[in-house]
Amino acid sequence: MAVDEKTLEALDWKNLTLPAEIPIVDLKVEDYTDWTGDAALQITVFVDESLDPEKISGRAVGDLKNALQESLQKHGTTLFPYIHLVKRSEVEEAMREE
Amino acid sequence: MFADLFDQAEQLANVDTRKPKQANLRRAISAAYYALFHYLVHEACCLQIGTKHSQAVYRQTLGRAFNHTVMKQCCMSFGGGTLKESVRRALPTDIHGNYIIAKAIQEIATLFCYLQDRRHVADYDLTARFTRFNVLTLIEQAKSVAEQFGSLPASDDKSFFLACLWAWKELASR
Repeated sequence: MAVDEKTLEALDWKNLTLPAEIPIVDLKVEDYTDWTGDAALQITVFVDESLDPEKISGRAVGDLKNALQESLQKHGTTLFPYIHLVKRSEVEEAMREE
Repeated sequence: MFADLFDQAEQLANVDTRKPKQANLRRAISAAYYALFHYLVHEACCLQIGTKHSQAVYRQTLGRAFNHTVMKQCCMSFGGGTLKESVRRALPTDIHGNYIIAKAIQEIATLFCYLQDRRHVADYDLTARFTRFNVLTLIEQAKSVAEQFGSLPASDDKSFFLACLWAWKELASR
């Protein structure tokens, strides 16, 4: 099922105040069903390839996810957001496995 | 225990010098989840039993009563920032009638739900793929929220949340 307009608007990351420590290059959102069978959202945040995970604070990761979640709540989306921070190159490499 | 599990998670995520093995990343996710699970159970049992070394066996025994699904249901509510009316009606509220949940509680609750789902995917869904950046930043976030929760001053609200982790099933059904 296509994600609704209010969710897409909430996740227009260029209009959000996000931690500068984690520059985003793209974002993808899909419907998701979690392991307990609850409807949810799966949000994949593609970050800058040059980022070193050892130098990113847990606080910055939390702030980024909180900002996205708060935006969703402000736009009336109540689905739980499963937000994954990834590098596109690592995703592509992992998909080539096996 | 939970500190060691966080360390183990990081070691597993970093053990492969070049391309990380899915098996190691998956075990890292699992270790991170259980680190957070045991941290919350520990905090709740300390509140119930006490923190003396001599009380450890009582805490560890009580800890067996915690249910992952019940904890998730509890954390879904606290993480969302609101509790259902039947739960919150006697609790102190702001002028808008809302029971205010501290940010550190919301954050640890939300992350617990997230990590539980990730743990299931890691252990059972072989179609999924995990990446090192994702796993390492998730571990850092988990350590950060646990630290922030630990720094939260003792309060009735904090105690209530910890109690709800084991009492939620009955409480939410009233």
